[in-house]
Amino acid sequence: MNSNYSNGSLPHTEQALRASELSYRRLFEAAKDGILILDVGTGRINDVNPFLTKLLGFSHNEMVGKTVGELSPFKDIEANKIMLDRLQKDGYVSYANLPLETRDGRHIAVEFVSNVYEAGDHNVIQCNIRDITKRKTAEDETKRFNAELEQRVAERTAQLQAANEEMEAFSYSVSHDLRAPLRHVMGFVALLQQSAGPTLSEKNRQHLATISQSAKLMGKLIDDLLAFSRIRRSEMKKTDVNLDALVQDVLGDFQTETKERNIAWNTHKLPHLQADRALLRQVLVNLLSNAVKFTSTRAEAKIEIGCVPGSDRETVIFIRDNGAGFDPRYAHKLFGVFQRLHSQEEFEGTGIGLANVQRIIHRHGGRTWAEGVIDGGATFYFSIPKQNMDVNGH
Amino acid sequence: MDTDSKSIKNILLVEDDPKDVELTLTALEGHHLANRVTVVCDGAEALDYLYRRGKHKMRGGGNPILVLLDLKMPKVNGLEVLKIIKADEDLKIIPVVVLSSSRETPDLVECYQHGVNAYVVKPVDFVEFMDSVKQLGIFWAVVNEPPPVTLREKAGVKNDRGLLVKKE
Repeated sequence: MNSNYSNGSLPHTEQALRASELSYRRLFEAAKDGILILDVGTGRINDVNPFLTKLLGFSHNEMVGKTVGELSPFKDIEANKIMLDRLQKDGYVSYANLPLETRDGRHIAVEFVSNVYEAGDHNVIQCNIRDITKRKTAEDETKRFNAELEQRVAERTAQLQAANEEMEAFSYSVSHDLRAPLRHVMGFVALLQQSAGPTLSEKNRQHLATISQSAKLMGKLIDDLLAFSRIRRSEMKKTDVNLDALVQDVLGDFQTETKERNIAWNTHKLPHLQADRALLRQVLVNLLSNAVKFTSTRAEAKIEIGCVPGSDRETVIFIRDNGAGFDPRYAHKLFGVFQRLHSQEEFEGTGIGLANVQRIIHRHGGRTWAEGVIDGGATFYFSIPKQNMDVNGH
Repeated sequence: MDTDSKSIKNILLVEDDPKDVELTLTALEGHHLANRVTVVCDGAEALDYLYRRGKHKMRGGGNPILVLLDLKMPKVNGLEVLKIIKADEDLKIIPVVVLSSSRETPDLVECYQHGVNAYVVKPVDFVEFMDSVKQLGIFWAVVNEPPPVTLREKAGVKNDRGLLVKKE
């Protein structure tokens, strides 16, 4: 055995050991985690790596020989003795989030993992200390943001709810309180016309007729406004709508109204849509009745209904007519409440139809727009998002 | 006999606005229905009339063949009157028609949930208003067969505390 010893294998082993020691040392010195080596019996620090001395603000000499509990950053950690006991018993102690105060008073958070391992003939404790301050701050920040966001959402929801309730009360009041006096104006003017009409001058009779017409228009405006506000309040039930069938159904409604007219309907193949059927029907009724109305001066009216090909995000439907058209400079006003681009003498109406169309399409997440020239016809477009673009569709 | 049937076949108009009362009565005049209308000016008085209380304690006749009910009224509103009538074993046979300015869904829903027999929105247009009320009067007072007298009189017996009880 001794001969082997003298064979020079010891220096070889020693060399390997030194190499291993060196690479361990380099790891220890360069580690981006703090490392403490403690004596398992006393709990005193045998060694500490540069990362940890820098992190805590102590020198190597100040730390070596002390127990962890004697160092100010760890003063809140459970008593040294208890930690040692646990380490000796379980071989393992860890803290997922340990708040520490560095020598210069900075507050940091670390993950602290320590375990016991055999180092030759004796056991040592190695503590790995990871600085998680940044992660912790980011987490706290995220938590704070979320809480703030939730608070803001709650506030906005409450505001919205209050606004809705106010709107509801407003509609109710308009419905009840404004219609009654209007009914009285019309009622008593009519009674006056009946009883005193024959004795009045032509001019005075005309005045009574004007009062009556104005009151009637106001009644119509109130009804339109209420119907408009009802669209926003009504519940929306999206289903698969066969647009071909719906258009045919709506066209049926126009048959009586248009049987004296010469209208060339051109209906292209239309797709299925994800929409509230009743509301979409209202859109079609409004747009088609506009097309019928504004082509009334044409010897041959042409009305075309089709789908613009292309987008995979939304379905675009158009309704084109060869009617009176409109001045494109005012196109942006078309969809406003009670906005009209023609006089009552030319074409009757209160100007609520396109506002209803826009509100319904907006409720579906779609868009409305129009193209036209004076006396050169108009094309109205609306889009409905496709199902796979829907948040719920994902 | 004559006065009996006349007093029995009356219509109770519950309406707080005298202008609406005048217009409604004008509309009912055509078919000589107006002279069979008793007008009360709010829900509280309507209940006094139906239960023969207060100033209606001594009123004659049985229950009206029809109650025309406005919804928005001071003190006791139309919906409350409707609820009380339709929850009362003896009064619930009386047809109640709501005549309202409102076509708001919640009003309609509540009225139908509480057993209203018809709901008519008062048209703003005079001709339409006249037409609606006239049709309503004709239907309920002429076309419709009211609940049998015995049923109505039974109600009279119970509600008519202290008053003479009529029996066929």
